[in-house]
Amino acid sequence: MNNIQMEMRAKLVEMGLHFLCMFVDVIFLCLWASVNFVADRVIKLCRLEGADSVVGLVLQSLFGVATLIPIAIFIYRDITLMWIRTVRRIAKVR
Amino acid sequence: MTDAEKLPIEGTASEVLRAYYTRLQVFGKVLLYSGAALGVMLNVLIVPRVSRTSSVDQFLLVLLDSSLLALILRLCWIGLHRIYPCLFSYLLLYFVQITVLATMQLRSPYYTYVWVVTEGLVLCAEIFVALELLRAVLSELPNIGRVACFYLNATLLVMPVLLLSLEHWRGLLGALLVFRSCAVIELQIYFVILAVFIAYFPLSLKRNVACYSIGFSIYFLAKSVPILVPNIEGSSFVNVLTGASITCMIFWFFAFSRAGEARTAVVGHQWRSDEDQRILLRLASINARLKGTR
Repeated sequence: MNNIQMEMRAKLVEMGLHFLCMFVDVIFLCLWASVNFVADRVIKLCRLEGADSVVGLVLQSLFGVATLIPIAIFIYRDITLMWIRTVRRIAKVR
Repeated sequence: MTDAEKLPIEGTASEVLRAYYTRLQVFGKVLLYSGAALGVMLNVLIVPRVSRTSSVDQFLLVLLDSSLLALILRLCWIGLHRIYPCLFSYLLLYFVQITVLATMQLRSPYYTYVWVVTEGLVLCAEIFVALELLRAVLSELPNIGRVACFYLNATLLVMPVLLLSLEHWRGLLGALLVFRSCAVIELQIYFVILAVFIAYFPLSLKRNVACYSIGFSIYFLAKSVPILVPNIEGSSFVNVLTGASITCMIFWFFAFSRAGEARTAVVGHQWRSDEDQRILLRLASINARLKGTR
C-alpha cells in the first residue's frame, strides 16, 4: 500500500467516524422531537383555554428548551472536537 | 490523544456503548426533572377545573403532589434511589397515580380502570417497601430478617386469598377492594410491630433507615385510616391525615442525606449499658439459632 492509498484510507476512516458521530447525534435529536411530540399531545389532551393555554404554551416551550440543552451540548462538543482536530491537521501540514 | 479529545464513537465497542449510555442517562435525568415539573404545573392548571372538591382539598392535593415530586428529585440527587429502589418506585408510582387521576374527570369511563390499575401497582409497591424496610432494619440480624420476610410474604398471600374465597365480591374492582383492605390491615399491624421492635431494642441503625422507618410508619397510618374507617371520606379529618402525609414527605426531604448512610443512630429505648449488651446478645443468639430455618 503506497502513501496516497494510506492517506486516503485514513481520511475515509476519519470521515466515517464523523458521519457516524453525527448520525448518533441526529438519533438523539429524533428522540428529543418524539418526546416533545408526546408532550404536545398530552398538553392538547388537557384542553386548556384562555390564559391557561398561554401558560401551557410557555411551559411546553420551557420543556422543549430544557430537554434540548443536553443534546445541544453533546452536538457542540462533537463538532468542536472535529473542528480542533482539523485545525491541528492543517497546522501540521503547514 | 487524551480521552477528552476522543469522539464518543472512537474506541472499543464497550467504550462507545458506555459513552452513549452516559449521554442517554444525562438526557433521561433532564427529561425526568423537566417532565415532572411540567406535570405538576399542568396539574395546578387542571385540578381546579375538573375536580369537584373544595379549594382546601385542591390545595392539599397540589401540595402533596409537589412534595412527592420534590422528594423523588431529592432521592435521585443524593443517589438514594439506588439504595432504596422500592421506596423510590413507590413514590414515583404514587406521584403518577395522583397526577393522572387529578387530570381526569370523576365521571369519565376510564377513571375506574385507571384507578384500579394504578392502585394495584401502588399496593404492590407498598408491600415491597415493607419488605425493603424489614431487610434494612434487620441488616445486622439477617436470619431474623429472612424469617420475618417469609412470614410477612406468607400472610400477605394467604389472608387475601382466604378472604376472597369467603367474601362475595363482584368484578376486578371488588376483588381489588377486598385485597387492598386485607393487605392494608396486615401491613398496618406489621408497621406497628416494627415500630415497637425499633423502640424496644437499642439497635444501631443507619440514620436514613431510622428516618425511613419512623416516617413510613406514620405516613402509612395516615394513608390507611381513610381506607379502614368507614364513612370518613369527605370529612375534614381526611384533610388532617393528608396534612400528616405531606409532613412525612417534607420530613424525609430534609432527613435523607448521603451522610445518613454512614452515620448511625439508636432510636430504641436507652437501657443501662449492661442491659443494652444483654438484650443485643439475646437478639444475636436468636439470630444464630434461626440460621438454616425459613
